[in-house]
Amino acid sequence: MECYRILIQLLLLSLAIATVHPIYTESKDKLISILCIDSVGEPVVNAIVKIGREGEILYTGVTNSSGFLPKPIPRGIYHIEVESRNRTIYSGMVYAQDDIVKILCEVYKLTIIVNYLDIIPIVNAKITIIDTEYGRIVYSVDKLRIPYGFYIFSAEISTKLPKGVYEVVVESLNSEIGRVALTDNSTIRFTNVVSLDSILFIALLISTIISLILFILTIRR
Amino acid sequence: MVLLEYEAKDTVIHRLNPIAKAVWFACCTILSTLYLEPQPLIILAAQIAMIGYLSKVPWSKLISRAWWAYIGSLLGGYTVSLWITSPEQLWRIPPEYGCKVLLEVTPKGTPIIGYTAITYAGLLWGTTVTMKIALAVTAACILTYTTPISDIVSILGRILPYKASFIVMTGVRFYPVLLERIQGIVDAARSRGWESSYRNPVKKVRSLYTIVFPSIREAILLSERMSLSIESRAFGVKKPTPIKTLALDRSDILFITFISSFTGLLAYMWSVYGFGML
Repeated sequence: MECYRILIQLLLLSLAIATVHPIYTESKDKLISILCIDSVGEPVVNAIVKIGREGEILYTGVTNSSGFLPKPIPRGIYHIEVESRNRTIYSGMVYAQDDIVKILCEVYKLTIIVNYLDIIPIVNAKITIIDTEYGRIVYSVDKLRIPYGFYIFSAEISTKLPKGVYEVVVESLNSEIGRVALTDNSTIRFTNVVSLDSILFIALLISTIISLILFILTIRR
Repeated sequence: MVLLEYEAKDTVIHRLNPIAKAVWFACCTILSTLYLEPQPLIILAAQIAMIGYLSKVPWSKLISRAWWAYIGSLLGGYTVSLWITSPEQLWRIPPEYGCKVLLEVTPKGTPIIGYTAITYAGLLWGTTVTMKIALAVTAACILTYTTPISDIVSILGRILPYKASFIVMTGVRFYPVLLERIQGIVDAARSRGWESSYRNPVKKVRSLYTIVFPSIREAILLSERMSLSIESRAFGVKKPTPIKTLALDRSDILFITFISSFTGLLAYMWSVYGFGML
């Protein structure tokens, strides 16, 4: 009789543990989502994710606009490699246990500012970013614009690139080259590039200032 | 109509040639119609304030005469801004910011009115329209304060046919004269114990008869007197000989150069850099 009582108590205890502890509640087939993020927590888009185990690649996919891999994977330990713009931005072992596994990728934000004398925005300039290690163009823009903002009067553009050394070429009437070793979010400024727009802007600005000064001098006499 | 009549003063702006002032007013009008965002209008406001300061405009008098235009622009601007809700109405501002609804006023499908809401773009647009109208009214007041009507007529006579320019300017001048006469009628009625502070709308309207009928009579008399004086001066027989020649001196040329460059600069910034585009 005593034996049955102990047995029932053990049964109830194991049942209680099973309802509380996740290791007993979750099935082994639980699916885990992979999310690739950069250093500021923003999603890494269009990155190639290779998931493998014991040297064998089990799944390859591309991250969507939210940084998620479209197909979830079963729980387990995997070797994950993430590539973006032909560079490996993450490689390591991951224990996929939680609902979402966040992969922190070595992708940084590069901001390029092109203002003549640091004052006059150079719009319509062509920008090319070259990966110096591989000699490949990784990013290019034909016409630089002023981003919308209540106080912004600066021609600039931002892009996300993998860790590495890059050469930034800005072309308009003349060209200027800058080099950046991207190991963190960086900003590179170009202040010597001129364009026809900027020359006309300077001419109008000078004309306004000079005529105002001369007018003030004339009326003071 | 003239809100601020000409006063002969010895200021820099008063001494300027009417052509220079007309160019300034035209440039202010062009710039105030160009923008859909308030930032460039702050620069324009500073320029108008500078001209107003140089011409020693009585600001308190200007505000007391034009307050209704400022209030009207405020109400009109922000009311119309309720319809700025769709991305097609915006040029530069990203729709996710511009069309962000702060408060929905009427839901989609509301009869006649349609969908209205307070959005960021709408607030910017409303502020801009308010500023535009206020600046245009202020600039017009500075122009009429610093330039005799005869000079404006002579400039308009160069652009428009003489008769048309005379009619326009006579109409413009008619308002302050009539306003003065109506004020006289009101004062006379008050001295006889007239009042209009009734709460009953019927009584209020009836009480206004005392003012309205003499005012209409006064307006007719004024126009009759004007037509007689025009006829006595042989108006319309032939184009009158200009009394003054509008020759530009050094300061006029510099002023016109400054205003043209300033307008060109702001218009160029709008066109190339999108400065002031919503």
